[in-house]
Amino acid sequence: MKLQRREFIKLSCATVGAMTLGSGAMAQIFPDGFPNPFRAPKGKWFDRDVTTVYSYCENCFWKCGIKAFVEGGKVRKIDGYAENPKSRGMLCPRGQGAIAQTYDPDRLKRPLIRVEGSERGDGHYREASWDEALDYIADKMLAIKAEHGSESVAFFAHGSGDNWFAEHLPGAWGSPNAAKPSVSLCTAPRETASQYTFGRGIAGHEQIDWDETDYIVLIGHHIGEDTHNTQLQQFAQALTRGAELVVVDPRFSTAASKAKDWLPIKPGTDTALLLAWIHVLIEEDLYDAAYVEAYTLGFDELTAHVAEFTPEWAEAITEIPADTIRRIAREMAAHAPRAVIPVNRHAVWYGESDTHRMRSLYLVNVLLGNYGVEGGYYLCDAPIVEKFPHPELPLTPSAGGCGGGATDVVADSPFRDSVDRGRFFGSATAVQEMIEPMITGEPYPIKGLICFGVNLFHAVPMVERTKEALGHLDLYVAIDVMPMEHVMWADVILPEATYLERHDDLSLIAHKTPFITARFPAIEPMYDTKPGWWIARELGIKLGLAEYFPWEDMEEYLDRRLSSIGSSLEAMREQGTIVRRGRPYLKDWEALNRNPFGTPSGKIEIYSERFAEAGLDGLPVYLPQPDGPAEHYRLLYGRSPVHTFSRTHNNPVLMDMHGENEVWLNAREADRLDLRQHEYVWLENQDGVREGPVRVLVTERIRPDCVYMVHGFGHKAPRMRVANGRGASDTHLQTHYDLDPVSGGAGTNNNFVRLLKGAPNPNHPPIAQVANEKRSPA
Amino acid sequence: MTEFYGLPSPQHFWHWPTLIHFALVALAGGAAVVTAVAHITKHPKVRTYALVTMVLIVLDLFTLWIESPARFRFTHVWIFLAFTPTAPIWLGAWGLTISLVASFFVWIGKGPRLLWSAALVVGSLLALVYPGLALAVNVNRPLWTPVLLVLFPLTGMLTVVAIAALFRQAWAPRWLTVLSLASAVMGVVYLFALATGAAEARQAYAYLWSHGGPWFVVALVLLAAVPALVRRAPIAAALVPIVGATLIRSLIVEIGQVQHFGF
Amino acid sequence: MSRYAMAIDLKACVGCAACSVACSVENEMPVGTHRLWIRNTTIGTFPDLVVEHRPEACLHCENPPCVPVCPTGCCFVTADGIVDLDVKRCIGCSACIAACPYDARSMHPAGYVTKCDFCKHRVADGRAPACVETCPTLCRTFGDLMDPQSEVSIAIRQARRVDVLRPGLGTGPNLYYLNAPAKFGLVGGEGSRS
Repeated sequence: MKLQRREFIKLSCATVGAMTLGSGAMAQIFPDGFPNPFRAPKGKWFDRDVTTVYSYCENCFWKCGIKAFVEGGKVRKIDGYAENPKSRGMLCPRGQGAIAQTYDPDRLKRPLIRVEGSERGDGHYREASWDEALDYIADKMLAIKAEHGSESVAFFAHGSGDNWFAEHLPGAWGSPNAAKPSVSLCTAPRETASQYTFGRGIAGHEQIDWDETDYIVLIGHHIGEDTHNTQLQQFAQALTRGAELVVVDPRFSTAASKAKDWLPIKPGTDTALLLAWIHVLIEEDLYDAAYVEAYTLGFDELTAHVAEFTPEWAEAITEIPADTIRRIAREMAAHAPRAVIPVNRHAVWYGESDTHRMRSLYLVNVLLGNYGVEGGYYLCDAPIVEKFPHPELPLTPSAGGCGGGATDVVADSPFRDSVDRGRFFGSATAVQEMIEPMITGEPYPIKGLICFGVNLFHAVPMVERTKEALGHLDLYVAIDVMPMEHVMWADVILPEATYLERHDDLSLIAHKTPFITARFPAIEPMYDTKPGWWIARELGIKLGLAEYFPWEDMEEYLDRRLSSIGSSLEAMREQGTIVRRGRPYLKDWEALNRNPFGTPSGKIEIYSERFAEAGLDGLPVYLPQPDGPAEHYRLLYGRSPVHTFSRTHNNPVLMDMHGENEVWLNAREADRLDLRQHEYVWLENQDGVREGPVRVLVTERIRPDCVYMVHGFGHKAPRMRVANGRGASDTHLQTHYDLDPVSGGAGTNNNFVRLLKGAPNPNHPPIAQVANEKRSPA
Repeated sequence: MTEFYGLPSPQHFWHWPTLIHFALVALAGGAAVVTAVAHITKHPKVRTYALVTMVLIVLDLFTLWIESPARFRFTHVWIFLAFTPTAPIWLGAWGLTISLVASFFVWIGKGPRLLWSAALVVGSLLALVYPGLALAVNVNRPLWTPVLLVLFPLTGMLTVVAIAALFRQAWAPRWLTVLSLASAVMGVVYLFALATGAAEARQAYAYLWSHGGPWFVVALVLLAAVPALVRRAPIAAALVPIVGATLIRSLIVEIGQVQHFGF
Repeated sequence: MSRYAMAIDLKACVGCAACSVACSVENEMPVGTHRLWIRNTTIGTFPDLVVEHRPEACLHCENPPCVPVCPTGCCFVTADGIVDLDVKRCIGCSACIAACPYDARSMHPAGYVTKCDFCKHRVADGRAPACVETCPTLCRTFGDLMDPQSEVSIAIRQARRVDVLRPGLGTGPNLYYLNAPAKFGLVGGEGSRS
């Protein structure tokens, strides 16, 4: 009754006001609505009816379990929940701020088809129905298949839906050219090194036994700036518990600020340091002899190999005093096996040297006897949930994944090998190696590209080459949430629903306690957007591949898969996560009489016969990296705690925290160049490519021979009105990369820049101003 | 080197409309004091002074209303429904209101004389003193020192006396000289106290100097020049202290919003 | 009756701003308005450096300078020690903003002052404030100082070093910083000036 009366008063006030003034004049005089003297500022969402929906986060790919709180048809808040082993009830800033992406007015809203006669990159589009857009794509794909074969359509994918677009659909369609940037532009060297050393991959959640370790050595590992949730939690807990920390980094990173020792290493020389540590551990008899004896092969070769890699040798290379190198090695040994050098995620730094570096890193850990032991690396496998039954796919692409191994192409396959086959030793496809064949047609042409959530211009080095390659395609389809620059080059743009609006496949996480988690939509898809699984299935049907998509919708699909483990969709809706027991330590495997090492020898292969047979080094070596041209600084890059890749830069809540990147420059170098704090400069790389303007951060926190910037800024996408033009893109300055002949990784740290004075101040308006402008739907 | 994620509240919370308020409230408070004195001394022009006081108070309140971010939420009434005598703004609001009401009755010539005298004395003093008080209570902002408890009432009185001088009130020139000199002296005292104070005060002094110090000197020179002008150029002698006093008040309000030296 | 307080362990804090974003979303802060922010300060010269990551917000002072200057009685202290405000009474005069030595109050674009209220709606439900719950370094503890067994009491007791911001002002902050990284305590604090 009370409410009705209030409404009545409001209504009569409004009516009287409208009669006297007219609604236009009303709005002019009272932009916030007719003033109600008795009205308190409105109540908050948490005072009203709130429902909770289980999901997992998609603002990075750590996949933390979340609860979305929905009120009034809107997602109001997201929190972690304690039962989920990844979020453990907590979330990082990106997870907390993710809602703003769903409600971003700049989102892609409906399918778009490039206007006939316009060029790629012109940005002229017309709206289309899903039916028309998918027909368009299917017709072109079938035409390419008829002329060049199904392998001539490439699939790039990243995100929760990448199983559909880098595995299932290309497998059903018949193209081995399916790749994930999370492999060759990120984790490839560490995965290959791990596979060939331990016969096991590194799980997506780097499997460090933080809870038990007493001594941590981080090498170029930016925990804290990289806010992978669980890892950050356990890292911080280890610190508060009193674990000692050593950080090796040319930059005084956030992690370095927590360290007892910071070793400001010369960039590109980490392998020399690691080899010297191996030298000290062996020479001073500090290694775990029993562990080495029980679990490894090739220790004698290693002993001979590292004989000359003394700390003095390493000092000359790394610029870290030999005494310090010795001391840290002894301290590690004193804490072993509860001393660990964690593997980091983004391992593509210098090309060929990367697999060597990762191998030597693993070998230090092996000598400390910590692999599969408390306080070192634990062992984990993803839980197994049966697939939804469908006919066998004609082909199994080897796109790999953050933590997944890759399958080899079957020898008698009716399909041609992927276009990158033979360029490197590893089996997972390399996304950057599929660009060149688009231009040259060698070994065979790539004429179509389906790009799902991969930022072609912010993830793949050599941006100009990518742009040229796109020009050679007969079909380029972009499936994305935001109108990123590369999206606005596509022939057809398909708008995907955000993760809060859709189901996705189950997330099966290899973890100390393996677990299964599910995503439920918190709200219906906004605008005319669709989930990735729906797009893949509808396109598959139009391509005549309906038999490979024998489910009506995701609910049926998930329910069927969950029933194979005795659960159901309904049970999962109430539960969110199913946690399994793990076998984290060697002793757990031995109790079951099982051997965790998947190498041919069943041992940790310190010396890799398989590498040697392929003409590669059986033991890791240090490869010197080139110095840049005079007056150039090596360009290093990393992460902001509030951003993910180049994905979050139109999110006003996160941009409000960190709205443009800076180029970090050593204070004495800044003096020499007469650069002041926050002055805008141009960056020009060794090939004369210019980027910016970008602010200089004059700091003591970096060596004088390199500069550093946070990756992901510098969007050149006018339709992303928050992101556009803020900061500079490191990727655009990466006009060179070093291909790792072992893993296929693309090392991008051998790019060098000069800082040029005189760049104009772009005078960016505050993020709040851009965010609050009435951004009408584009 | 300090970097932020999410800036703290902006250090500037009072903007140029507030400076206008600080100028107008000086006039309003000063005029109320003049009216009070005139009423007690049965000055023949007391009704005119009362009317001027009313106009100035209304103008000042209107400015406050315009600049208020809560303009269309009629929450200002809480000032009069709450009892918060520790709040300078509460004191000022009552001071201005009492002065307004009393001036009204003096203007129409109704009501008990003693009551209006008392009301005008209390109200006008509150209205005159509260702006300086509202600044000086913020011990966290080192430019807003206790000296303002004297400097602001002095400059407030000075501006209204200058207006009176402009309208050729016979009593005005004498007070103009006294108040100008007193204001200039207090201005120097203000600077001296900062410059010789504790570390934070000295940092604040340096900040003031680098963010408009020369203008402060200009204002002091203007005030000090008044006695020389009073006989020779009466119009200028009235205008110059208005500029000087308003300039000093504005500089202190504007620049003094800073805090956290050494952070 | 309780005396609510918060402690932040600077040994663990990495300044990632999860707390700040959580706070803004929970409390529906418009973009650009913050109840909670991070101050990251570097001191020293290469290679001997200290970086302090310091989240800041309302300190819920024992003697809050903001409360007595409020002309409408909108600002008050609850029985549990939360320095709170009743926005229905706020006229946006900014007197409290001027009085706060910590920049902890700001003007909401809707025309009233806003600040940290220890997420009193969550505390009333027996939950921790949004910043505490989400912190991925677990550096924050919240609770009742009157209860010696509360998490915050224990954290403060066990800390190697406990600091508050600008203790010389006599405000009596209830936001405690534990284990400050610099030898002299908080950067910019009284200890660092000498």
